[in-house]
Amino acid sequence: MRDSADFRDPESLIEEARFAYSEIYYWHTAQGKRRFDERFKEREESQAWRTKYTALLAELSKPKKASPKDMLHVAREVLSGRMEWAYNEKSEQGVTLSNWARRIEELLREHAKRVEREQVSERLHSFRSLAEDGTVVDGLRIEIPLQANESWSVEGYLGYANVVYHDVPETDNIGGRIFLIQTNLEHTRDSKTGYTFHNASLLHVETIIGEHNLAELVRHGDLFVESVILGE
Amino acid sequence: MYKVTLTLRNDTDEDVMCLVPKGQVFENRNVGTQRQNLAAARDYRVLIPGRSRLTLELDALCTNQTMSGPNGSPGRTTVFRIAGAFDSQQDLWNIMSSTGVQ
Repeated sequence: MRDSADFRDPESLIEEARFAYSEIYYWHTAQGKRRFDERFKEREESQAWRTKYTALLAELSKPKKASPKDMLHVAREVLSGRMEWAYNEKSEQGVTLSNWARRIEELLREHAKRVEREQVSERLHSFRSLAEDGTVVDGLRIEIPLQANESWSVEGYLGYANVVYHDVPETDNIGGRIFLIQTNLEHTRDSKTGYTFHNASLLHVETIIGEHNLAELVRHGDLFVESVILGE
Repeated sequence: MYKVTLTLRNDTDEDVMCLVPKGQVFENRNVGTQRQNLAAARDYRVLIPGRSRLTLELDALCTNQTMSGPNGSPGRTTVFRIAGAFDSQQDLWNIMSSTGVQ
């Protein structure tokens, strides 16, 4: 079986999970009741179990229509629920139903992680400090919670910060991005539960618009900055 | 009080009038440094003749209270100036740490 990380497209993870689900679905709908009766016919309490099991079979979604939630629900029933009795049974592919169930969980966990990452990425890319006309936009703040097994680090912060402040210049001649990155870090580095970013307005700066201003002259190429030294 | 040493070059044939406004931010060139960024302490107005260069020494205040002082490290002009009035280092730190950022 392919590793879940090998699926480049999040939708293909769902399709692979659907295939795993269909293996469980077709085994139980084709032979589940018969195999249950064969296995438990001598047990007194089996009627109550059978009632619960058949109720679950009746509510199973068809593979083509099953949602991720439906698939996860069935995977859990296989691993520790009303389908657990067939845990070690094998589908036509020769794989146990419990392995198909674990496969569903793994694929859908990876899918959820990717969706979360995409949502974070969209939020980071839509974050703005500057408007189209170069003025600062109103105050914006964004919080990126730490992902599972992720700990706060300066490297992690810088990775997000370069995306968050992508609309602020950083060229040889004119910048602003490093100021925002460092100043925001100064304000947020004590919070280790995630990464918080404030845009230029919340970091108390505005852009300098107007003829003869150094920033404008440099931006328009009327002046070239040969060097800037920050000193005591 | 800190200093920003700024060398500008005018490659055109025309003289260029240049205003460095009070609060103009100068940032560190390298993101890894934990040194303060600086803001011009007052307005400066200079004329840079055509085909020439000029070095200015600007009085400046620091914008990052918890960072180390600059020590002659390379910097960069930015598009920003401080959004607020200040007359002292403490005024500037008050602006930078005022509400809005948590």
